[in-house]
Amino acid sequence: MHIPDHYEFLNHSKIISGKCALETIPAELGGYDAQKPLVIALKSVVERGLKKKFIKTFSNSMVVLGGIYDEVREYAGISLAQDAAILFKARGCDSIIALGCGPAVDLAKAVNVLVSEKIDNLSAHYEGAAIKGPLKPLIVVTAGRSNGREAANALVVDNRELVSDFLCPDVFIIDPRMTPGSCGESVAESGATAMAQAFAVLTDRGINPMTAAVAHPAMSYLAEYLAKGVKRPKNRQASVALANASVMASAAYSNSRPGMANLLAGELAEATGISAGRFERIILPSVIAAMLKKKAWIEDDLYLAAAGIDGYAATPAGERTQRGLEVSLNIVGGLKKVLPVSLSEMKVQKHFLEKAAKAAAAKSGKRFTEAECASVLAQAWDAAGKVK
Amino acid sequence: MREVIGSNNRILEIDLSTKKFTVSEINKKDRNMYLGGKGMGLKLLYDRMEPGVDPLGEDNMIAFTMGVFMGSGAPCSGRFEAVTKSPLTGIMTCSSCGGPFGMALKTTGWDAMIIRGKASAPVYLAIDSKGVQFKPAKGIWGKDMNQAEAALLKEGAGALVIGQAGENLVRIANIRSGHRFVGRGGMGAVLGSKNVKGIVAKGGEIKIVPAKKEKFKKIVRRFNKYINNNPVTSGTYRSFGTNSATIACNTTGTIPVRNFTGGSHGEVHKISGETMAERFKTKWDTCKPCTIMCGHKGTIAGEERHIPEYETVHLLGSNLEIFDPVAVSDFNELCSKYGMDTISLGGILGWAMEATEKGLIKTSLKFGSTEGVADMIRDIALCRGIGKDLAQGSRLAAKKYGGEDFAMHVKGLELPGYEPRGAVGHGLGYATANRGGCHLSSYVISIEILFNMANPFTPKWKHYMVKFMENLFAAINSLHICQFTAYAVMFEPFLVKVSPFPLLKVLMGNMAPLAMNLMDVSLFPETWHAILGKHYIPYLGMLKFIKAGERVHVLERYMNTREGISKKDDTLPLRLLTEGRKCDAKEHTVPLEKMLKKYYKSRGYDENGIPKKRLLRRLGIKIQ
Repeated sequence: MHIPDHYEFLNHSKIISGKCALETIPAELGGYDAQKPLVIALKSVVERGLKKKFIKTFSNSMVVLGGIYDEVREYAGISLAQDAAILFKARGCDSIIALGCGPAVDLAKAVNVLVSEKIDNLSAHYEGAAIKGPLKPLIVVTAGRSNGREAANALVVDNRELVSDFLCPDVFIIDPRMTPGSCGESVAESGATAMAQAFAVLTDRGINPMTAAVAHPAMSYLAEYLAKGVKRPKNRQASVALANASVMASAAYSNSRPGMANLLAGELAEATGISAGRFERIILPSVIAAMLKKKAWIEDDLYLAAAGIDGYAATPAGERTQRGLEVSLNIVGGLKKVLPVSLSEMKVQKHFLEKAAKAAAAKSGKRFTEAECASVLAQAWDAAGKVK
Repeated sequence: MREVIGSNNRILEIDLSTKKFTVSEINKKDRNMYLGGKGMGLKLLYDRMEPGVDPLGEDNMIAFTMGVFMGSGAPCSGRFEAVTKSPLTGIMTCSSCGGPFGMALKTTGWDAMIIRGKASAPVYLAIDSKGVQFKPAKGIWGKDMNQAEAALLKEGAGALVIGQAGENLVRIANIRSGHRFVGRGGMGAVLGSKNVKGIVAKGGEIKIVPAKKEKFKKIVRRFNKYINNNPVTSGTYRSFGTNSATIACNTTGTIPVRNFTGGSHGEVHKISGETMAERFKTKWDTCKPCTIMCGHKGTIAGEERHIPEYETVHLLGSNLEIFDPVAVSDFNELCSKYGMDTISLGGILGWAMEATEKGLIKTSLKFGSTEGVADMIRDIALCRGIGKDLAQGSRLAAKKYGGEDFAMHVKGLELPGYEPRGAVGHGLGYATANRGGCHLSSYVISIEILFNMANPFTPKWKHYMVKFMENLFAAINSLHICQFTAYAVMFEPFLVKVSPFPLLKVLMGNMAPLAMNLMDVSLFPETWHAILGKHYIPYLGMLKFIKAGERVHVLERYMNTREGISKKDDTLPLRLLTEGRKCDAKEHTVPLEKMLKKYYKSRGYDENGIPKKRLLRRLGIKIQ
């Protein structure tokens, strides 16, 4: 196996997945000498009745829930973080549980910085001040739509990113009672994000043994369970597998470089206000089509992860790159029934494409040219890279 | 002077890139279906412009369209419409203006003007009945609106100009004509992006004559009688301007305070229309012709100034917790010099003050303080420092710095001066307005608060009220006549006048469709008919008139859906949907979801807010 000259990998999150995972929270908190967490919950998770299930699991424990802040919607802003921080202090809490993915985790990280550093806002950190010392224990109970940032050492509040190794959550709880999706669309969006992240890691020339090791099972889970999860969002087995895939892909991706699909989707999401997951689903096939056309070299790991050892072994070495891309294309193709397949279908204004291509190329560190990005977007516009 | 019966129907199409122009005609079918003004502007761009163009690019077009009423002598008819794709919202925007340019263009012989392309160097356009001359704008580029307009008026009867804000592509830049503005959506930036500093129309080359002179005279008399009898159009508006609504809105908790965190304030009387009238010795200064006379001027700080309108007073006043009328007037003057929309500017400053308070940006702005506000207005107009980011509008500024949850806009257009938690139907109107956060699209607050005819806190029948008013106002803006005439026309006819008020209120609250459809607005189509005459066009009845309004509204919606607008955009800032207010005895938020569902159904949209094919076919809109 290829040994990189240099690589780094950070992930200190513990993952507890499977039956009764929720019941381990008191013990985990105990390990951090904490027993009064503030719960920061997604409104959509509460509306689905998951808060009640969550609270019920603490009935026989010594843990006292200090408060439940359940006003978190799609947007994580400093106002909400400040409100939650006030609640944290007023109730004498000593730890934080994020109930739900996406903005709930971003907000929980922000509240953690505010209460741990005893500050009112994040302006000093936006200007470059480092986050000092370890923060309060942070446990994430995965539920709802993922934005692919949960396991990362970063938070995004008010669309501004803060990066610090202290921001990685301490524990991820993946419990089958909490993971089932609300609808196929939501599962597909999370899946598309995880897929784009895992694909970016496994096709990056800077891939290292650790990112590959973490992205590999993520891709395998996606290959096996994404279509099933989208078809049956309530299927517990599939939802647990996909939640695992999301956490793993997020962890691997936060140690890797963004791919073209991630960069372009990010730019378009910023311009239109539509979630990046939808764009990733549309753009990834065009990126793959471009790679197939270009006969780009990538590690065999992609095919091994996506097709499994049997398929991998049965394929001649020279064909594995291409087959890996084809299998990836098919995985994304499984989402076409629930998510749009072209940018024109999403009514993205054409003049955004040029700006997105330019910005993505600039952010790629010369890995992709503006013309390459523009060509991919042009394909994604009319779904020329559409899967069968 | 040549006499024209009814309307010219001539369109002047100008291509700045090639410096050429063409002349085309408004066909009878389009005139019948889209009337003129707003409707015609939208239809002309729908036929000519691809979706997805860059609003500040060469491919965007801007249309200035006159209505049939313009030049006929109909009361309050001195208004014209501008239509383009907005750089602020990225969707269609229409704006009505009462400045003298409309009359000048119409009496030059043009019913509409479309500008496309981009001039290679700054120019101004001089229009006469033969066409257009492209003249270098060297001497006026970089000048403020006062100077630029004074220079252009030497060549014609009416002019449109942009200020430095338009030249700098500030997305809230407006266009001025006289003391009136094509205000919302950043149309000034569109002209700026095309290197057009101004447009001057010669005027006085033709005279519009109504086809049925005697009938027209009778109708005008009736129109004026209605306007003069109505307590709003002849009373409060005439005496104190639009700002006469301040006290009523403060009492009912519907003024914006501190970036829309509150709905009333103890000091608001200091900036009310009544106080300003007394303090500044106001007199009329209106669009022409006008019977309502809501525009006023007065002596402020030793000079004669236009008195700020209601929206300006509240966005640059109460929304910033500033209750000094002189300061508000100073800010208003700066806006009219540099050329910026006061509503959007107030929304942006409110966001900036709150973002400063929350540590997202660093400015000297502070709620309740005038310090730094004037400097920030200049910085925004001239794109200096953080003003460059604020010049992009509150939506884009919040995207960059955060604070999207308190950026008070809908679809990118900042909210006007009414707090919808005190009038939930008006909130639905904001969410569904085609151009974004707009009070004029349906103005249901007039039913909920100003005329006190419906409970402002209940969602009951509000979807219908919004739909009806949207259709009516779209039709009125296509005629084109001042929207305020609707109050006189709706409430002064005999049946409504003699009905006991409690009965009207019960009817409106419980059977809104019946109550609204019983309102006789036939005076509008009758005037249209008297101007154009039967020989030209089939009789436009009241139902056809309302249907034309529906067609205009739905066409605009359809054009916006081609730009990506759907249910996700028909929403309100989070604050209005989730936070209660201290000024309310019982916490209120806007129950938008409930109303929106019914609204879509009654409109004939699908559950995602897209007009169904059946609806488009019924209205005769060609599906593209």
